[in-house]
Amino acid sequence: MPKILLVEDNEMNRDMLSRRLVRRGFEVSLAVDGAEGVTRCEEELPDLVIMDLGLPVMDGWEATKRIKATTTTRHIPVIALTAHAMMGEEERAAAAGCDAFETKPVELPRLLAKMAALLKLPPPAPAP
Amino acid sequence: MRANRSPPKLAQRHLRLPADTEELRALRHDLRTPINPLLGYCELIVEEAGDAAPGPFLAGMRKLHATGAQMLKLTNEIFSDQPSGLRQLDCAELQCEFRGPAEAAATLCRQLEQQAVVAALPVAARDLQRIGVAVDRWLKRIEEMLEENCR
Repeated sequence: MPKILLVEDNEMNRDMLSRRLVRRGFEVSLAVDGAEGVTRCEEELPDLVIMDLGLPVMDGWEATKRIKATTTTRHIPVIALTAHAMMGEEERAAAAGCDAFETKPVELPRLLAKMAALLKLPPPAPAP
Repeated sequence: MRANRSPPKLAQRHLRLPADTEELRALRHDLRTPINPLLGYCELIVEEAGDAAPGPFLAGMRKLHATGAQMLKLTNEIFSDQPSGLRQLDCAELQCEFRGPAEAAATLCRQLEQQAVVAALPVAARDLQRIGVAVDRWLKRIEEMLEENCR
């Protein structure tokens, strides 16, 4: 069961997305800001991080930079998730070290496909 | 309270979005953010309730999802670089364009929440309350945006 760390400050988004991922067989761990995300990532070594970018305490760009700068966590793929859908955002996320980029509102099949590719899993099946 | 504030006086004023990129970026982010739980919870409720839910409830959920998609389309259109009929409207008309789907979504939420309670779907009922909160936040931010940027 792949373990996902979801870093998201919005309580509704955290609840909604984590439940949808659990329904699809993922184990989901949560962090509410970038600093907690970095700490949890180092402690839990998840298989993949879904990182909101607009976060309090430490934003998602900085948190991703720190994850990618740490020897024990740099191999962990990070998917940036943001409601910033303007031109240049994806490049900015990539520059911080994000391996993939998704905009909110989340299109779950597309997010799952990116997760499967990064986790080297078979393409996702429809929801149970 | 859900989506039933009285509209401020915005007639004959037009939307002038901030020239500052960061300000525009933040505004767009603020307006797109509440639509994520709206659409996501709609999809989750249909997944979780599945065959246990009455047909009219599921039809109502699909209608609520479509209304949320309309709110997203309006939000994207306002910030689009492409010419849009929306941008030609004065702010009072624009406000009506935004309030229409928001009020429809708020009404649907209340109806579906009651249906979920009757159908013994307590998790769906709670999630519908959350959708109602997201709709409220979206409309509140739209009205703030109009107040701040209509001249």
